[in-house]
Amino acid sequence: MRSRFPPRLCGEQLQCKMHELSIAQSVVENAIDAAEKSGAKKIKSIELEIGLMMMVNPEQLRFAMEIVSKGTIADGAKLKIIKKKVKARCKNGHVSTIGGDFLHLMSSLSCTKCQSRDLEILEGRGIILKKIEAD
Amino acid sequence: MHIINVNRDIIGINRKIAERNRKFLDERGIRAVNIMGAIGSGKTIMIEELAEKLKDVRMAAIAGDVISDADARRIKKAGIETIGVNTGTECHLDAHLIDHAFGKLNLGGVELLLIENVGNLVCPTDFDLGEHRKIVIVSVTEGDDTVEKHPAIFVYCDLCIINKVDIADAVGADVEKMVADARRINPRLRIIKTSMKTGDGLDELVKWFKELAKG
Repeated sequence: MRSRFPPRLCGEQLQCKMHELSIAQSVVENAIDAAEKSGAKKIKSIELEIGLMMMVNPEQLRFAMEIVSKGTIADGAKLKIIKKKVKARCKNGHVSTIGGDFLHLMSSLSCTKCQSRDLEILEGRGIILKKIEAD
Repeated sequence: MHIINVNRDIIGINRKIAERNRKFLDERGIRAVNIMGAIGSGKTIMIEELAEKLKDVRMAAIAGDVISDADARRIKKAGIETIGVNTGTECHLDAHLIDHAFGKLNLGGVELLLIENVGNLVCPTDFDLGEHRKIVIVSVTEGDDTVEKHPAIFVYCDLCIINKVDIADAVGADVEKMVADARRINPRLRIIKTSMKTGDGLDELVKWFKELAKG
């Protein structure tokens, strides 16, 4: 059973790829790394927090995770996705917390108080591997 | 079974490298522009035009392409120090690739670094390269609904170039709709309408780059 992915070009690149398949690959690599460091042999679940600005398609991500975790200690792990709302400050100084879904939020992103679309994004652009459950 | 708290930022490493790139550029007084846009929107021809019309600014370029060095060769031929970067199956440049490209470019005396991203309106959006400005080029031939269909990239850009305006009527595109869509998505966005072929709007565009390089 293969537990590690083949090395990439250099160490720094390990975590720096994106979009559903590359996100999945980074998540699985990091989850395996964390599990191995704590002596675990099998990952049961993976919890991710994804900012709504990331425009990730959760169904594609689930599918990609199934593919990239095959034959690893993360094979079959359940994926839990927590949506992190967008926090933004508009030109009038209002700070809004904006919820929605990953794919459609961007088209309607505006201040919840004055509807301005002139926004500075404060939060909502990250992908955090929060925790894993492992045996 | 036990819970392991990981709290690892999956995409944070790109941002860290991007910040390092920006510091590298700042220390050398180089201003960098990330040029994004769909395939065929006019990214390379814009750089060729800048090579011709912005002679008093010393420029270098990084030309990103999935495969081939066609763009890099064109830019070199136009007289700009250029390195081509192939991304293979990845559809965007990332900060790490830019970091490697720095080592292969002669940046001595360079004031303006033009980074031509891979032709794509989606993926490059999320990748900070360490640039100082992001620009997006859309052309009327992509359809006048291309702005509303790809809102994310316009949210993050400083300048939007609407190119090929000379043939808007021929392809049935409403340029003003594109302008209105871009303004609605990002009211701060500077918009310049151009035709790289006829030269429309190029004075304004060249001025924008010159002010950035000399400012």
